[in-house]
Amino acid sequence: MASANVEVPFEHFESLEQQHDAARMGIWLFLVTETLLFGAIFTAFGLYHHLYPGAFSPASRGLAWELEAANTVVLLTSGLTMALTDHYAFELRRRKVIVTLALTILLGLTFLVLKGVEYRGDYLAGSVPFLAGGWHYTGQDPSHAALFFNFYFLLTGLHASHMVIGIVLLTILLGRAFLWWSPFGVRRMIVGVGIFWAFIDVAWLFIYSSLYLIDRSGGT
Amino acid sequence: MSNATATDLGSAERVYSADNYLHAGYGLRSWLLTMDHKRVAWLYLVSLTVLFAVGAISAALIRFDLLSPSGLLDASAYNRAFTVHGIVMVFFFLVPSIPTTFGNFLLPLMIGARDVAFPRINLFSWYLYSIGGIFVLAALLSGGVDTGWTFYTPYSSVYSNSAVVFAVLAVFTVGFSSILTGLNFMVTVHKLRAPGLTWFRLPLFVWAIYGTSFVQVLGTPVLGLAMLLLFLDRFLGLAVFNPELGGDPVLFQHLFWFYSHPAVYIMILPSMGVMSMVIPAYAHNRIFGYKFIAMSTLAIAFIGFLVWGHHLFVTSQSVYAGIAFSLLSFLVSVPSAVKVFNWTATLYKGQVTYEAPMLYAFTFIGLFLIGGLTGLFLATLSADIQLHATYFVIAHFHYIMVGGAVSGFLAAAHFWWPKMTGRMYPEIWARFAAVLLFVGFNITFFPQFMLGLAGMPRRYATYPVEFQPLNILSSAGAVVLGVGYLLPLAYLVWSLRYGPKAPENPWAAKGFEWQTSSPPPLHNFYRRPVLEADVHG
Amino acid sequence: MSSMAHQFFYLPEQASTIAAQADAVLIGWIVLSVAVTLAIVGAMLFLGIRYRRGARVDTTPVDESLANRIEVSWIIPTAVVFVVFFFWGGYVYYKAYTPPTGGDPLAINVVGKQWMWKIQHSNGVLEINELHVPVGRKVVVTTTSEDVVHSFAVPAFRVKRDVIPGTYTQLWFEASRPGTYHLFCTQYCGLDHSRMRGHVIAMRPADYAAWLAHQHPQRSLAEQGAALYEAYGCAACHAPGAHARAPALAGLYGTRVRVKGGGELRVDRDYLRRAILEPHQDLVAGFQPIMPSYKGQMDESQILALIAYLQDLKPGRRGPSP
Repeated sequence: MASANVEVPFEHFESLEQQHDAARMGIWLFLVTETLLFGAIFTAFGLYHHLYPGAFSPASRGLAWELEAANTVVLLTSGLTMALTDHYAFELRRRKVIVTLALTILLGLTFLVLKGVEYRGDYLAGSVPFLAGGWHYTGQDPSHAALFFNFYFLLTGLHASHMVIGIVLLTILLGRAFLWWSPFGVRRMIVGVGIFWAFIDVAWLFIYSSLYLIDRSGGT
Repeated sequence: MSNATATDLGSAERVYSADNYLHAGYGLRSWLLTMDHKRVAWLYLVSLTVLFAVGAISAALIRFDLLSPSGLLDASAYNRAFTVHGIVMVFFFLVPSIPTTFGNFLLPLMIGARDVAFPRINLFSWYLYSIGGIFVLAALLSGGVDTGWTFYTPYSSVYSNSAVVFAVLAVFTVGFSSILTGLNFMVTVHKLRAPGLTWFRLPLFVWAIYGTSFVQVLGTPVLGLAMLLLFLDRFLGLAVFNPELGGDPVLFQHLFWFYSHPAVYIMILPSMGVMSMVIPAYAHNRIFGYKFIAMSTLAIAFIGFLVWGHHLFVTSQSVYAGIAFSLLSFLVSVPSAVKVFNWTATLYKGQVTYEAPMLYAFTFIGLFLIGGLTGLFLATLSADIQLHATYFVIAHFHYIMVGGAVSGFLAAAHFWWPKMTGRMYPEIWARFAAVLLFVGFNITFFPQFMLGLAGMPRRYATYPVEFQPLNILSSAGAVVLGVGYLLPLAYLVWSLRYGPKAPENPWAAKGFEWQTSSPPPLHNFYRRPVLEADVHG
Repeated sequence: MSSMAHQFFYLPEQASTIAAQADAVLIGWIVLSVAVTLAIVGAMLFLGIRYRRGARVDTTPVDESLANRIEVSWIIPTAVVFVVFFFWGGYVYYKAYTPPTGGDPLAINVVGKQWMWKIQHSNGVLEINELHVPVGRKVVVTTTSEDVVHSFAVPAFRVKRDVIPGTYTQLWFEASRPGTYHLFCTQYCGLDHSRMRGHVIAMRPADYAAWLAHQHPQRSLAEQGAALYEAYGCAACHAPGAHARAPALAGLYGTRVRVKGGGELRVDRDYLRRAILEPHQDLVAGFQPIMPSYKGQMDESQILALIAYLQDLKPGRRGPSP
């Protein structure tokens, strides 16, 4: 059984190093699958953007880019607090881990709240094709603009659901950090969730750029 | 698990539990909450058998309908039958079969490890598989699905009135199970090999599982996305694939086949790995061209991602894209050909015996060869115009999937049955069943090549009367084939109780798994196995 | 050759000009496959018997470098054979899928719909599930679907092309012998997919002319289109001198236009179809997006008729011709 001071590998591993190596490879492979998932969506989005630029560009310019720029800052800051969590976890510093975890969760929730605000704005502006009463778009080529908005909700929605999963995992971690029953277990989980959280950050950068930024400068 | 005692950390030898893994717990909890890869393999074996039965019954319905040109079932029932047959056989049998059963059982043993890298995720993968199976059941109970296993839009997204959502959920869930299994196995092969076991000393079955896992991890997410988009199109009216609203139905085909073509390599690579173990064992000879086979496995896994467009040769895909995909499809066949040559050459200067696994191996080589060659017909652009969506394609992939993958599965089942259960199967019955399978299979599917050349389209509940004689012949063959499947089920189960006890190495084969008892102890080895000689050396 | 293909290899009779070339590729593969299968299975059986347990065997293992050379020796011929078939099949495919230019081909429109084929001849004849064509003349078929993906296949002609909703796909053939041939739908399309069948009837030119004379279509396809043009009031904006600004349609077909957002597009049938259903998608530069969409008001057959009218419309004509 684990003593308080020495981490012992799981039964089927030969050594601690092997166990950590395996865990690290596992989480990175999982991210590869996530990259393929999002990558396939970006491919489909790219195809339709190429086919219907007259609909996609104006639709994109109508999005609330300033709000989401602020949200990007929020998310990147949460990446910082997560990195700090990882750093303090490595040193097994319970108090600091609790603080930085709580900050990360707070920032994550802020992101989701701002997203919710944006979604509400989209609904009021009539940019939600799949909700009854949510679609009264006045821009160019409405039926293909609907396709843009479908991708917008798909990408941001998928991202947001990953955020929710991340926040749930972070909350579990917060509880475990509070109880501190298995410090090494907490540390291991923080490494994994930290890498996942970083991926969500990077995915957001791609989403924000493709949906909000690339059509920002451009003629009619 | 709790009986294990470790000596000091990091020592070269450990003493593990002396239990037979089958005696390390008897209740339902010891099975349903197991973290032993060997028990997970059995959980999968049971679920797979149940789902295979569903797929087989739907096949029987198909062949029954086709006895008459006007169709003995009504068209709606027929369309649901071939859809269920495809979904269940592809996603719930062929893709998981060998990796989750023999792969799970043998991978840690073959590399000298105590378990896979993530035992809990391994169990979770089985639960996901079972939940997927429940979704299939839900689809059936809701009246079935009639889109074909390929779910082409906009029929599946807009027009079909069947339980598409349940089917999509089933495929999505089992896909996630597949990704986690692949991920688990890749990490296991990379990180848990015994000291001294370098890559080019690995058994070829391990190479095969590794290549398969590579494809599973990279390809399945795209299937997941295709299913997600289909679900959203259907549920929320999203219209990504609906041409009425600007969507492109052919985009779905691209996304679907980007996974589903590599998927066929997921289905065949493990069986090829089995061949590379079984043939040297019964030829009592080393495998011919170990490195070529290992590298061919990687080549197939990689190039397999570049050929999906050959399913779209007759669509609106550009002629130039078609030319590129055709060339790549020819390229991907070369490594498979290398393997067939090498297996045959392994017989040279051997001391060949003909136990049942070897009969299945010979079956594999002959039938996979025909399946592979007919695949080349389809890779040839002009030939595909004529043969696309005809019975020729059906015969082609059944030669590979049944003649190849299922023969491999049965070869593996017989070869490693003594190791997994500690019992020998009855040899005479097993040989008889193997021959019956070969005969029944050919009577069922060879006529379908002729039907395809003559122009009979696939997925036809009714057909022009001139195609009837060959259809009747095919259906007759299916009865023989069915018996060929039922026999192993019967005598293998019988042997669990009545079969003679198996020695540690009944075949005098090489490999770590044969250096431990039959069945193995809970933690696989009494002592860390020593790499005395290469498995394929 | 045709009857040999028919008898030995189960292929349908060769009823089009490309069939013999298509069959040559198929038969080539059949012969090669049989040979390779016999060779490998033969080798397997021979080795399996010669080296069975108990037989006398020289057990010196095969030398590694010899083994490698043997590997190469079978990879190279395999690759060469593959390349040959790749080029051969690619060449015939290219010919099969490139519609002929010039030679006055017969233009046929096919609209696939669950679960029937609607066939429009340009002289206005409408057929359901049957297509009459003359032997010895190139026929170019433009297809689209009203609903799901179908596929138009005539095995005797060795042609097949998917029929996709939302776009036009083309196929061409030249019938070479008179007869009645199966027409199949070869992309699963729902309940009665297997009943979405018909026939292509190839006739000697004299017989075809006689058949045509018996049809008595009320109006040609272009005339049907003209009636639609009038019924939907297109002239209100598109006629020269109309009060709303809209591109002049006379002589537009086949030219290139600049579209809003930059770039040029050719005004082909696909473009005209999109312009009718999604007028704001590829708007001609310099015009306002004021054209209403006719989605849901016209089916694919009607759109094809309207397009036939527009193809014929030349400058100098004032409006729909009688």
